[in-house]
Amino acid sequence: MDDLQGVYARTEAGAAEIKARAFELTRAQRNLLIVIDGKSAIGSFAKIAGCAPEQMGEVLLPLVEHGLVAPIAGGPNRGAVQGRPWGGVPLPAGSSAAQAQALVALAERVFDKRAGPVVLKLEKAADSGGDLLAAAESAAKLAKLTIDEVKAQDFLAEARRLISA
Amino acid sequence: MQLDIITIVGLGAVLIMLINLFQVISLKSQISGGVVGKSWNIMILLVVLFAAGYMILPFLATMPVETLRIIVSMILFFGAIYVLVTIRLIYGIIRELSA
Repeated sequence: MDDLQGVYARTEAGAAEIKARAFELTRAQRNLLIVIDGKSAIGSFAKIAGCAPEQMGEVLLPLVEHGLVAPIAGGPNRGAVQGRPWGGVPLPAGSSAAQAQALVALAERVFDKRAGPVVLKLEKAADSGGDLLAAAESAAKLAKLTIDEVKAQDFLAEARRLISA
Repeated sequence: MQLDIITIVGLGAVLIMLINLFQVISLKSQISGGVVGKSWNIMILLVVLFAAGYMILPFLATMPVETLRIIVSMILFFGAIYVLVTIRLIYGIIRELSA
């Protein structure tokens, strides 16, 4: 992708797609759709999308074509991706809903096809306005018991960094 | 086959073990790994063995005593392993939840 500094925002259709799952998006596309925030350069989402920065174009293009995301000219955080915590992935804009979406994306990336119960737990906590850190810890315990102990620890460590930053 | 109290209890045991077998295999899809997942594969194997062992119950009366003793001792042995696995699993869950 030529312009990794481009800024994109989720459209209303994109927000609906997160819940509806109407399109057959790849995991990388879905992760990108969840974390994209209309403020950060698109290249900074490469790690959470689970692809190399130069592949971001392939991930992004279907989202644009389906009208799930749209470019924003001169976003406020253009170029400000260096020095961010958590591997350069931009942190959500502070709202718990955005943090919950980022946690869901993290769970889907870490646990892949086995993320279902963890995602469900996180979404329930987000819907009820509960403590996200407690939900992440609880989800990690569930993952440690029923999915993978090492991945559960990785998830919790990254979730703590994401929430506390 | 004579339908006495021993046969009825035996058939009941087979039925319950088949239900156990169905449940332990059904739950496997929800437990792909982790602390519980490790023990779950052993438990599936043991339940399969039990189910196979219990199938001989209706034929107890026709079996030689020596064969019967071997089968009963095997069922007791694997029963003890099953209890051990279950206790260790519960201990592991308690430890994780209290950590």
